[in-house]
Amino acid sequence: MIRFYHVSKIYKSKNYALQDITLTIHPREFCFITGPSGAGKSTFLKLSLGEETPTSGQVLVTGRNLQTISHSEFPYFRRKIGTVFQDFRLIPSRTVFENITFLLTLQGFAPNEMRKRAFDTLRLVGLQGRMDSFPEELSGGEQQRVAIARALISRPHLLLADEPTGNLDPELAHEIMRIFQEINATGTTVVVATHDKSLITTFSGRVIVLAKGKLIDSGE
Amino acid sequence: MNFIRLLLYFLKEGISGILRYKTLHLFAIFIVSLSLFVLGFSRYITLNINSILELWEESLEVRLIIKDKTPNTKIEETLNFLRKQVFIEDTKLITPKEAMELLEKISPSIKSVPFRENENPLPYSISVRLKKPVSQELIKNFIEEVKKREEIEEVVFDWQWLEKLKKYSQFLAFLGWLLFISLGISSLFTVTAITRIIALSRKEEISILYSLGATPFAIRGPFVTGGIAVGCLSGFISILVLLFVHILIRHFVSDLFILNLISKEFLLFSDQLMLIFVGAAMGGAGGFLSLGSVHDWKYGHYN
Repeated sequence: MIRFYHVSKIYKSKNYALQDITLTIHPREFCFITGPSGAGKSTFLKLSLGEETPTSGQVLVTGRNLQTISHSEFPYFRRKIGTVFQDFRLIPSRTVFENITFLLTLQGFAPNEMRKRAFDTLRLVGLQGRMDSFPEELSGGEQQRVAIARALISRPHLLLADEPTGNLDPELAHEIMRIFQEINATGTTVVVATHDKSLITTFSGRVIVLAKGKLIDSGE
Repeated sequence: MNFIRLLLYFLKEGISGILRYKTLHLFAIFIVSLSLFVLGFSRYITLNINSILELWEESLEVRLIIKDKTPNTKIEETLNFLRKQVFIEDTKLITPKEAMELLEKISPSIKSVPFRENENPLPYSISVRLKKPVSQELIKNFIEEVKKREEIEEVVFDWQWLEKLKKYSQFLAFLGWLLFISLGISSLFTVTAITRIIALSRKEEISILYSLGATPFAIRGPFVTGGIAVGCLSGFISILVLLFVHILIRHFVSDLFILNLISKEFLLFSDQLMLIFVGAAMGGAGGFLSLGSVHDWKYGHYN
C-alpha cells in the first residue's frame, strides 16, 4: 500500500526530517508510526499524502509513484486516501454534513445518496444525530470523530492519521482508536502516527519506530 | 447532471460568500457599476448622436437662402433651374412663416422671443433634396455655380458639419471605451484584490479543501461564480442608474436643445446585455485571478 525506497527529506533548515527510509506497509495492515517529537512521523505522512516531496528516494502509494503524479492529478489521488489530523481541520462555517460531504458534492453525488452516505458514516462514529451541528457546537472528541467520518465517507483504501488523539483525553483517545480498528477490520489500511505509548501498548498493530528521522524499527 | 450539480454548488457557495462579506462586495459592486456606467453612458450618447446623424443623412439637403426683396419671377426661375439638375430629388420653397414654424418645432424656447406681427426676420429659402448616393465633388461644383447667381444670398449645406459630427461621435465612442478600459482595469484590480482579501480570510478553509482532494477548478469555482454574480449585479445596477439618468433628462431638462437631441432613445437591449456580460466577465476574471496558483494554498503555506 505504501512503499518508501531510500527516502530522505531535508527542509530548509538543512536538518534531516527523514534519512534514507526504506519500508513497506502492506494492504489491510494496522500500523503505528511512533517516536519522540521531531522523529519524522508527520513528514512520513505528508510524504505519503504528497503534501511534501522527498529530497531523494521514491514514495509509492496505492501503486503510484508520487514523483510522477502531476499537479492536476494530485487532487484525484488524495481522494483515494482518508486523512485525519491532530487539529481536526474542520471548516467552522459549515455543518457536520457539509464538512463531511464536500468531496461527494464535487464528485456530483445526488443529494439523497450524499445524505444516506453521511448518515451511515456518522453512525459508524456515533454521531448520526449531529448532522446539522456546526463544529463549534461539538466537543473535541466529537470533532475528531467528524474528521474521521469525513476521511471515511469516500470509502478510501488507505487511512492516514496524524496524532489523531493528541488533543483528546485518554478515554476519548481510546474510543477513537477503537473506531480505527473497526475501520481496519473492514479492509482499510490504517496508519496512525502517535507518540502516545499507552495507545501502542493497548491496541494491537505493527509498530514502526522513528527517531531523529531514522528508521529504528520497521516492526516487521 | 453532475456538472450541473457542481455549478449549482458553486453558485450557492459564491452567493453565500457575497452575503458573508457584504461590505467588501458592496465596494466591489460600486466600483464595477461605476465603470460599467461610464461605458453605458458613452454608448447611450453615441447611440443617440448616431441616430440623429442617420436621420439627418436621410434628409440631407442644400438650403439656398434667397436675398431679401427678390421678385417671385426670379425665385421661380431659380426653381426651374434646380429642377433640371439630374442629381436633385426635389425642391421646395420655404416661406419665412414656414421657416419660423420649423424653427419653433426644433427649439420650442424660440416662442418666448417677442417677435412683432409682420416682423419675421427669416428669409425665403429653397430646400434642395439630393438623390443618393451623393457625390461630394458634384455637390461642391453645384454649390459654386449656385453661389454665382445674383438672387442667392447664401448656400447652406450641412454635409461638412455632419461629417464633423460623425467624427465627434466616433471620438466620443472611443473616449468612452478608453475611459471604460482604464476604469475597467482598476475595477478588475479592485475585484481581484477584494476576492484575494476574502480568500486570505478563508485560507484555512481553502487549504483544508485542497488537502482533502479538491481540484483547483473546484476551489476557484465559488470565487469565480461569486465574481460573476457581482459583475452581473453591477451590470443591472449600472443599467438602472442609466435608465434613471435617461428619465431625468427626458422629464426635467429636455427643454435644452442638445440634451433633448441626445436623449431620444434608451440603450438598445443588446447594449444592456453587453453591460451585464462585460460586468460578469470582469467579475469572473477578478475571481479567477485572485487566488493565483491554487497549489500555493496548501496547508501551512500562509500560516
